[in-house]
Amino acid sequence: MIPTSDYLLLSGLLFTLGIVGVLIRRTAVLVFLSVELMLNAANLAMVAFARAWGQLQAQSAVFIVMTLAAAEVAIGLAILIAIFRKRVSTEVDPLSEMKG
Amino acid sequence: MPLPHISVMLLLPFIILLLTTAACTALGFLVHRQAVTWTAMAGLIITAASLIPLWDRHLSSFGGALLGDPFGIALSLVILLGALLALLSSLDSAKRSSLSFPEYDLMLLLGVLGSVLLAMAGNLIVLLIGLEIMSLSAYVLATLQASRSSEEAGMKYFLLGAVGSAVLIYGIALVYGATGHFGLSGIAAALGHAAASNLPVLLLGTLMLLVGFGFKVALVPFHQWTPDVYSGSPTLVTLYMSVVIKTAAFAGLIRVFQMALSGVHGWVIPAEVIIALTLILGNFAALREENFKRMLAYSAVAHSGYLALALVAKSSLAEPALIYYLLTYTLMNAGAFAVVAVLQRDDSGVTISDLRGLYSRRPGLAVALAALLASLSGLPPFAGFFGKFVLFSAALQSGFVGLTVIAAVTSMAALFYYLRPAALMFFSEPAQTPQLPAAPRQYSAVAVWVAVGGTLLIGVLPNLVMQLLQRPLT
Repeated sequence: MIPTSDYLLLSGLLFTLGIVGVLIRRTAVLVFLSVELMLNAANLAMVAFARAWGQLQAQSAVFIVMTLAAAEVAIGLAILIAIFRKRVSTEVDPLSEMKG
Repeated sequence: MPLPHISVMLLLPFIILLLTTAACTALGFLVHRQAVTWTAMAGLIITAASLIPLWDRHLSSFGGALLGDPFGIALSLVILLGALLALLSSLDSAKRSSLSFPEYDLMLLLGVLGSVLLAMAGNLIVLLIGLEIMSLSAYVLATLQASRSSEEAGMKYFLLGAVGSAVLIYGIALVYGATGHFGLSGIAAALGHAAASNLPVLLLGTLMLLVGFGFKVALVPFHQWTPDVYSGSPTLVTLYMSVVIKTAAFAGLIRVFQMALSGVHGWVIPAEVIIALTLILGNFAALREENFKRMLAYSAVAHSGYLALALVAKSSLAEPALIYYLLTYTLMNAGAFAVVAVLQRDDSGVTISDLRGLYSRRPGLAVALAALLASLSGLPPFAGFFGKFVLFSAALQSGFVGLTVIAAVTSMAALFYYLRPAALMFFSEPAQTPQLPAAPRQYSAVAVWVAVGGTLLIGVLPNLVMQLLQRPLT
């Protein structure tokens, strides 16, 4: 049986990749993709912990997180399309008309 | 295995909110937008009425996943009050912001549903669901206006909010991994006998929860979205975000850290650093803002710092102080943004020099705004003063002397940026800029005067509220 720590290592790696992606990617779609990677890392950790504790509730929590991620995709893509219609680009950098 | 205990009384507020949302969705196709808004407001009032009988009964549903304790109920009532003020001032201001369509009311109602769920959550998964319902509807609200700045604000809010949620979810996974529980009381009980090898995971999870909530309540350095999102969103949406979302996110933050994780070692010092940074940066960044809406955004960041004092304070005063200050903050911030919504030419808000000589043109509004600014800066006899006083005493009682001193000194600095616009309104000649709009604004005026009256009333008689909070809150 693969030990829980291996799963956690993989999950931590995915999460770090996600954070790096958020920080260095310049198009909204790829930033968004990186966030999804972070969510999946959390899901992997939850499933691994659920196995270690021998409980089912974290397994079902993963489905809730997946549903939330799907809802987030729907809204995120809608905002993205609204922006793309006016600016014909999904780059993040030009979105600084308010000098943030 | 026994069936989970369900208390229907406790579910009633959620059922009423959902039915109101459904009714408003259907009505949106049939009637004028204002009728939808009135329906939504009636729904919010009925929801509040259904919460009051639960006050001292400490009900819980679904094995503690939903808690009807006074803490959750009081903050839910504050949330409903904030949403009511947002809807009331939207009755006349929404048309000029081209927001006068039923989607505004629907998204706001859904956000309130998520916020109330977040305030009453007794389980990390329920808390997450509430938080996401609230955030997702807020992303839509920020983008609702068909303008470039609104879309930019929505995108920024969405991307940073999604990152915050992802960090929060990872924190939940780690806390679950270390304790084997999602329920807040279960986590607190498991902390006593957690294996030593689990402690690093637990601390990491706790810190990630702190960061995730830090994004939601705008604590430095996770506040970067705040000025852009607050100033880019339509002012009515900013009003809603700055009161309802802040209250709900603080309800979740304080509940998780006071009820479940207060026994974890090692998070208090990072939290202190974050709070000190928030107080300093929020207040000093507000000093150099010329746009009134951006100034209020930084003021909201600074107020997150004051409110977060209740996070570290271990005194029994912490939770009453938090509730009192969130009520005060809801009244004064909703009032201030409602004034901006009345005065603005477009949704970029007003600049501070636009306020020059406002007293000679709009004496009523100028007096109201001056009172709200005085309350925000913490001057007596307004509620902002007493609110800061109890928060600072809660922090001081728990031995956070340095933090309290920083909070007191930065609130002195805050006097400058709050009182400068107030002074300009009264003592300056009117600006030569084009006149501000003069359409009738009776509903916004009601919202503003309710806010001013409320801050004055609970400022002069703070015991009206504090007496109600003298009981076990959680």
